[in-house]
Amino acid sequence: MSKIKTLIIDDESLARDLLRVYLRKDDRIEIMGECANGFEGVLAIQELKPDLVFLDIQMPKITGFEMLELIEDPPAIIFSTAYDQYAIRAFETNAIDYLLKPYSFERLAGALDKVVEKLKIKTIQPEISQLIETHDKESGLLNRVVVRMGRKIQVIPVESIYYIESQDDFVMIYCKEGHFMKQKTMKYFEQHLDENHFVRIHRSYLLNLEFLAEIQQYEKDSWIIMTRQGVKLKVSKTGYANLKEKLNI
Amino acid sequence: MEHPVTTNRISGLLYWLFSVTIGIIQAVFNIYYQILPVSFALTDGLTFALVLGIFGVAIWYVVRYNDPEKSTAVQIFGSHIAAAIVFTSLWILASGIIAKTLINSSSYDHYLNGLIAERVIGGLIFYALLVFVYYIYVYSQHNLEKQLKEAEWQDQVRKAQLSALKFQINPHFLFNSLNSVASLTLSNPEKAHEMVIALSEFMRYSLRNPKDDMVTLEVELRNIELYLQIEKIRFGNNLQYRFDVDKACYHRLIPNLILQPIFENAIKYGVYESSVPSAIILEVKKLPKSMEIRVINDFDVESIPAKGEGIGLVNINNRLRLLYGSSRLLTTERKQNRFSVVIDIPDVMGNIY
Repeated sequence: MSKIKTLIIDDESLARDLLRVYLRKDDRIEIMGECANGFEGVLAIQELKPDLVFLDIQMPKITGFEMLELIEDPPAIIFSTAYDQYAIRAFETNAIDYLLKPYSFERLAGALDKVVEKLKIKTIQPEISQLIETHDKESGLLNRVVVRMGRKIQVIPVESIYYIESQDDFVMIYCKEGHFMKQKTMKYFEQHLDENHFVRIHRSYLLNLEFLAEIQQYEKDSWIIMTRQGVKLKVSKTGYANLKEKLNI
Repeated sequence: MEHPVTTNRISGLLYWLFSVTIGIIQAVFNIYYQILPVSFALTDGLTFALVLGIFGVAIWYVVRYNDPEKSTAVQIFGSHIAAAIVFTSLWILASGIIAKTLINSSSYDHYLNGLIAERVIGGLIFYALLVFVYYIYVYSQHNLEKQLKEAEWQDQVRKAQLSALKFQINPHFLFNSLNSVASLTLSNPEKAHEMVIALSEFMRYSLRNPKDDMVTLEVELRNIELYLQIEKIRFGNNLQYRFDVDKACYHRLIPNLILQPIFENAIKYGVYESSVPSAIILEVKKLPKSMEIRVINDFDVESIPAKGEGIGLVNINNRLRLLYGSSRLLTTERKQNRFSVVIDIPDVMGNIY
């Protein structure tokens, strides 16, 4: 059997050192590289195509969870974290394994055995998506959205989002920084953005009220709004009712 | 403070009962010795008593505007003498005019004029008595307020200690530090040794149950330095720090653990959330009437701080307000990628040597 190609992503060098020392003792493992943050992590996963990633959760710029959102076809993941209540709950059912720092070599070896099993039957991917979903449910309102365009990773504060447009099975986020595609549903954003600021004005649009400039009626049961940036968006009958409610008109 | 007569039912009732009783006693006296006919005696007694009561309500304000803590004894005495004279003359004048009009008899007028001297004395005695009672009331209310303030203060200290305790056993900090020790025992045992000792000392300072709420700046800074040493071992060159302290300030007292949350924030936003080296600078300066403590840290403008920042700062501000009686001792400043927190510790609590 070929070796398991492994990547370490952790912002603390001492934590990486320890993991590296442990992993070198196990000859099923081949270490491909190390990253100190999620940005580097996304690129390294894309380029190195590892089988297994050790991932810390609390890291600068983007968390381990946000990093996973940016990866299509994610590899097997073992989280290694100091303490994270939410993570513990989420992982208990879905992660290949989670390691609580500091952990022993024996504990790590046990996790690696699980990885070998899983890699044999190739059932990793659905579990990871399920893991992200579980995390989505656990976490409350978003205060930022992380997107990726090729090699560039963009962190968008929710305050700077103008509106979100739904496309087939993804959404387009229009914001100060430009417009970005994200593999999430409109429903997800409706649930995870503050409903006092973001209003569903149409099947296809979720609007940030901060950027609403005017509302015009152009037919019976049909309206359009103009954003502060001068973009015109259709408003449905239900959407107009939602708007009226939020704006108290 | 609220007026004891107009806003409190029980003391109000007692007050009016007392005033009316004085009037009735006088009327009964006049009737018993047949000085005045019954209707004249009752009208006279009640008129003087009611006007006395009404004017007496106003004396409260003389008491309120003569706070013994703010004015001198001469000032207070002077204003009460003046007020007593005005009070007594107005009372006799107003009651006299009303009673005269109501009774309208020359024999009553004669009685009225013959009694002015006695009434002046009675009015002054009533004034003095009332002022005495009002001051007792004010004093007891002050005590009550003081007790409430004290209780609130105790509560705040307890909360601060609790949240400080929470910080010190902050699981992220503790377990990540222990993981660093685990790593160092394999790669650099001497450094591991150093870190275990720093961690132990830091935990000991934080977990002890401090009897004094005030410590010297020196003691507090020693603990902060332990904390920074530990974080420095974890984050290496990503964390830089510098202390720039006026020597004269080391022995000054500050509320214990008041700087801890500020450094915790500085590390959180400056180091945890940043992938480039970040500096924390502490400056302590002696100002004419206070000591200025300034903590400056770099932060990554691009990373968006998690919500809930500032709660630690609000707690610090509350504690300072309760200790020093001012809510303007803590200020923050955000300039480009630099965040500063400034605490002004007034000199009033003194030094220990």
